[in-house]
Amino acid sequence: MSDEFNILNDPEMQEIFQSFLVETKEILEQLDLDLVEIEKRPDDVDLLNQIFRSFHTIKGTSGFLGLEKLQKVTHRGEDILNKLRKGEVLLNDEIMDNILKSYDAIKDLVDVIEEKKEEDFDTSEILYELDTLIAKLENKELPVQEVKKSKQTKTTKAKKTKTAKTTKDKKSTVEKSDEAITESEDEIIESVEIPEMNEVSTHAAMSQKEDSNQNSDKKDDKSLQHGKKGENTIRVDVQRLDELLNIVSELVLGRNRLAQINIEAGIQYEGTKISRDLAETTRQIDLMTTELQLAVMKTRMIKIAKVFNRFPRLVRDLSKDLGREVQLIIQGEDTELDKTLIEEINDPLVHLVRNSIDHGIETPEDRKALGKPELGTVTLSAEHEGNNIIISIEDDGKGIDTEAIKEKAIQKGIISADKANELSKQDIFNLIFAPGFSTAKKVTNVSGRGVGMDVVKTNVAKLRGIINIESEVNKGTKIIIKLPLTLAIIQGLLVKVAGETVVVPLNSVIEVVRVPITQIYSVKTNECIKLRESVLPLIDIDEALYGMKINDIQEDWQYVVVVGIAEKRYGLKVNELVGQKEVVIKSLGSYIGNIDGVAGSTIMGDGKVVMILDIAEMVNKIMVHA
Amino acid sequence: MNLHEKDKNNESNELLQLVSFKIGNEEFGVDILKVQEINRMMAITKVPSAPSFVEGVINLRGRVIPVIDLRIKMGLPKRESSKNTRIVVVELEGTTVGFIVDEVSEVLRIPKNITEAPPEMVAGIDADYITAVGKLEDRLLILLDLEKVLSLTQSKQLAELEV
Repeated sequence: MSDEFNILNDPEMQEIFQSFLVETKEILEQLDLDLVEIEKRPDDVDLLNQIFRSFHTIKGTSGFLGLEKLQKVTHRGEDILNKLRKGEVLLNDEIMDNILKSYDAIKDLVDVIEEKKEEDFDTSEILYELDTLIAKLENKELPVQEVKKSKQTKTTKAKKTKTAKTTKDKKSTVEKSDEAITESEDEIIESVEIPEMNEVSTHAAMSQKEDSNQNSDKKDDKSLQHGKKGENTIRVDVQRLDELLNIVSELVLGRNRLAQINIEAGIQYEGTKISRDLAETTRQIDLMTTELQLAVMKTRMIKIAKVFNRFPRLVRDLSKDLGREVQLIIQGEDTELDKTLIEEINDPLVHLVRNSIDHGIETPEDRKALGKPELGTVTLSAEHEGNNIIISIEDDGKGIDTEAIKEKAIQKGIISADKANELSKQDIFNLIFAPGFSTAKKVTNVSGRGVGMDVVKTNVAKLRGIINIESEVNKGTKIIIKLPLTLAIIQGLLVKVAGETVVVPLNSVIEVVRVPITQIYSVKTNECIKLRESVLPLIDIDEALYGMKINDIQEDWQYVVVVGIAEKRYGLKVNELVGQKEVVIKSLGSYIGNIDGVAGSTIMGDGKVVMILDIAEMVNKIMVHA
Repeated sequence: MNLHEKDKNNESNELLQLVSFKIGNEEFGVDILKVQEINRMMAITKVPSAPSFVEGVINLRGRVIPVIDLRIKMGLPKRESSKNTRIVVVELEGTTVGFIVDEVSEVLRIPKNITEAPPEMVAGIDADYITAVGKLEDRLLILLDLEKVLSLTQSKQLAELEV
């Protein structure tokens, strides 16, 4: 065993090992989708072949790397799939469950291998289960197998005599133990697969082959197409992209500075050739920088399909566990967003989809009683909206019962009974984000512990996102998450507070209003305004950040920037609105470190450094102090 | 300073190259190799919730670096900047930091053997910062260890005190 581990630790093998991991994960991702799909269309031969090939590829590479356990598990999976694709057995729930189990085991095993570089994972249980199933299938289907086998021989005979040998092999093994059977099965698969692979690599031989191989099934053509794909992409280390983005960020700052100089020069040397030339060059640089920035950002963009694709399986498992009938509709999976966001958005979505199924969709009987179709629908969609991406999770379930939430919140001591009656519908919805809140009658492994929505809120706030809930009893619930496209370069709203200019990230900004001073009310020590039926707490940035209250400027009107943090809304009191600008977030450096309420700083066109606010943290800080 | 050390210094006849600057009435020296540049006072942006000796941040040719007011760090009262006020930019342990000083005097070369270990208390500065005192012909020069001035643990302690 130790020899095999050495292979993975061998520096010369690192590159191969890494590409094995990347490739395997890609295959697994696709496999996840395919497996759920095959359950719906069990007689799709092409799809079955594709799944089979995925297992086969993983088995092959893991064998090469000496990953015995992985090879064994994939091998069993492959055996089962082989029977399916040859039509020896028909897909049923038991087989499907086992295939999914083997998929899960493979996935876990790959994770362990990546982390520890060894197969520190117990596969005995899954192997036993798979072996049992295989044995069962073998015994039951023996006669069918014989027939199929001869057919197989016919189709491949024209190619190579090798198949004859394998057929013999197989016949001889029928009486042997299960283990031996699977071994020889492997050989058959191997020998059948070889011409397939040759075909992919040698295009010249293709036409010839097709002639001699006319009655072979369509699978070979399919694999051919499959092999041709993906040639015009390259894998790039994320770090290199990060560096590139960094340089572009600097360039954006330079561009801003140039624009400022251009304005100044334009005033000083108005009408001269040099100022016209400068203006033109500035415009050109401006345009090119913007384009470069977009192009670089695009390289970091990943299709949200990467996240969405995990859901069909999740929905399948959950609906089975909970006895619901749910179809998942995925829309806009081609929408792209920054890699960092992709990584962070997965967990919140998992929680939300779980909630939709567990709390939203009713049992088929209940749905029937309500006159709804028994099959519930959860829709997961993504779309672009300006510099934001909107992700929504919608279900046609029972909706959020505001009364039940109120009751629960009072019972849990989250709000007082008096206060509960004053809350708007939206405010009540937002209560579900409170930590420890759960309306589930009992705690299941799906939900009820009351941490899920808290996670959603925290993660979304971290990404400077906004959450909106729309819900109607018995119609369904829609949760909308609005996220910025990228984190490094942001659109900012420049505002002035007490002599300092600060940047409010524009994607947190919902609107800017001007209210007469007389309409600012005080609730206890907090100021607030009434904005379209809901009460908006006001935040004094001077006080929150600089620890001083400068309120000597008594004007009749107060500008209020309405910002959203996850599900909550606040108003920031500002003295002056300066404008909107694209800014690059620069950290304050390790010496100053992280300051609550400040996301970083940026350099303006005139060379001045301004602070970029982190609204979520700032509000948190105030809440802690309050 | 013990005899052994003195001997060693005499042997190598080592010269110290220092940048000297003034804060209040005292004159300080720092290793010239640590000093990246010396700038005139420029617009400093306040950093919210930072310790009081952190005056803010400046834009140093596209880099945002923190600026520390040495006066406050040394427990002296804050003073409005004058035309002599300078920002001494130093690179320490990989971070670039600016120090505000009242005025920069000159670049000095002094033989190491005219320096002495600091007395217990000098000019109200916590003696930790001081590596040595140089006896010049007409005055004393306090040699500072800026790394110590900057040392994160200390600044954190201070920050906690001030919160």
